[in-house]
Amino acid sequence: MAEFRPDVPRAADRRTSAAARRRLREWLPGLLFVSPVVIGLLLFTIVPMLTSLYYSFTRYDVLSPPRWVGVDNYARLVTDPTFWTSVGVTVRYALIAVPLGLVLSGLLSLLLNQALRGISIYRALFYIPVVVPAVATAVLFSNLFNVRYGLANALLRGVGLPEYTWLTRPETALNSVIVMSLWTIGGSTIIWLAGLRSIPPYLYDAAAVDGAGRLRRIWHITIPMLTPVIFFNLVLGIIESLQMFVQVYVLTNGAPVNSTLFIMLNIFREGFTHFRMGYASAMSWVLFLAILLLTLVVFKTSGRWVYYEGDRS
Amino acid sequence: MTALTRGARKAGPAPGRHAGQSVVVALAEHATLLLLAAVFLFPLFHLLSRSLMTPAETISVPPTLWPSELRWSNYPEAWNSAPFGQFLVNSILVTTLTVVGATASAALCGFGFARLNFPGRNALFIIVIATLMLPDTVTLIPLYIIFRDLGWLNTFLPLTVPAFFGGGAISIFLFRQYFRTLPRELDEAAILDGANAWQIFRFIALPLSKPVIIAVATLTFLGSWTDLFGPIIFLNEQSKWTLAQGIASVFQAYYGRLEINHVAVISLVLVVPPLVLYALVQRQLIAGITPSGSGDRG
Repeated sequence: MAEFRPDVPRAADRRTSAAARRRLREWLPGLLFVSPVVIGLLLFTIVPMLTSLYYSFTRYDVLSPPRWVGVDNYARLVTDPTFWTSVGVTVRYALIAVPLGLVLSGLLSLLLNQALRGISIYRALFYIPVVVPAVATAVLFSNLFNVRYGLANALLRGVGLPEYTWLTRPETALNSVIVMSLWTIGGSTIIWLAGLRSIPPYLYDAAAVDGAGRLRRIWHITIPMLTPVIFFNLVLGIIESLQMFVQVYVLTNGAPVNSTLFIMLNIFREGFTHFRMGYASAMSWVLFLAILLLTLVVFKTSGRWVYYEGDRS
Repeated sequence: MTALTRGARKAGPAPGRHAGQSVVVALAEHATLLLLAAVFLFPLFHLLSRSLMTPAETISVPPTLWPSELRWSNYPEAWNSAPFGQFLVNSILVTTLTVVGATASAALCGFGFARLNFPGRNALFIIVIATLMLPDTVTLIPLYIIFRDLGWLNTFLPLTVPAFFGGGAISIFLFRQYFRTLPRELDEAAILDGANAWQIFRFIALPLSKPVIIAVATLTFLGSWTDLFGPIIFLNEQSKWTLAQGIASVFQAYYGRLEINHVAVISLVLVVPPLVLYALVQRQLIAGITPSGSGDRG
């Protein structure tokens, strides 16, 4: 937002109206081209956002008009154990699933970055789970995780490990959701691969000439050159995991005993099952601010650890 | 980091420097990749095998991998157990409208951001990208009320009309990135010939943009075809349900009682169109969604 060029607004006040008209003629095509998104932002984002902010200070059951209650909804959040349960579930998921997915997709991309025959076929295969609809993924994994006749436990028995309780116990249900999420690491693998391939080979050659071993080359070239990719995947991963909804809605709907009640699921329940729209709006705003804050923190600290090569755009 | 380093050492960081590598290592890598690919694709195989089993087979202990005989009758049985034909028609309608609207409007906006000048361009683009951080529920609750007051609930309008207004941040971003890579000289030559912005867009930029059009259309298709959040909020009447919503609802309503072979059949119907599309456009899609346009195959 800081990139507003200061000379632009003043341009309209330029001396002659002829110059202003010329300016307008120059700008008009651009404004027309982006007008869909401007209207869309206004109608489907900004107006609803402000309305939602207003609702968050009201009690609103959809049937009768909203009634102003001040900060009551926000005050209630602080002492609502279900809200904190959902925060705990979401944060625990993000803290485990995002780094785990990042490391595993990174390793997979290294494996897929080989000059092997047919490697592009492998690359295509690992992306397939990403295009499988989330509803189908959830249905599928619900069957795989079934403790009695599911294949997950059959596999564990087969290799001599004890059976797992998967979705049936509060202690293990969230872990099962995390396992399911790892099925789609092909999405971030693609980003990793692009990063790996953008590293110029001469860097490795130069390092080799200087006598750097393989480990040192990875530590001093591969990882620093990949920090933008790590950064990109991290930001997207955080944003996505905090907004987790469809898979858990179908897979567990929050059960058992709210152990997989993600924030979005909680909001959906409050808003569209109990029709407490004001309270659900307050929760949505807290979630939005949390995402905004987290993203800002990652961006702010990125200067310290993300390396952008030269001024390549 | 140690895990990353270890994996990297095994795999080697630089492409194209394995020419002298021994056959043994290449074989080991193939074996690892094959095993991993089998693990990743197994769930889909599982879906197929379950869709052809008898109900008894689907709950046998220990589970079997493949049906003793192929029970094709599952398919019509499952399909007729709920109005899935209607759901499919609804999904096709919603998805088609969304793909057309989103791709066309995102192309226009992306071109505006990439090639044309107007005040506040960068600020506006940042705002568009920032909407990615906005949880759906912030806007969906008021939109539910707005669409209710407009009488749009239980119609496809709430799911399709917004697509015509920009098509989403990612679509606009992809078009903008792509149009920026087209050489400026093309525009300049056309301007000398008297072309206006629309003509440059329509007759120069668009014909060169097949990869990004395919990528955006595919991503929009996947998003719309698999969407559940929008349908469960805006569509209550069963006759209006989409396929994804129909499966989710049936699955939840009959959880544990519904025969899994039938669930597998319907899931397959939901899964196959995206898979076929992916198979057709895989190369363009990957090229389109990878930063810096590195779509070349190694």
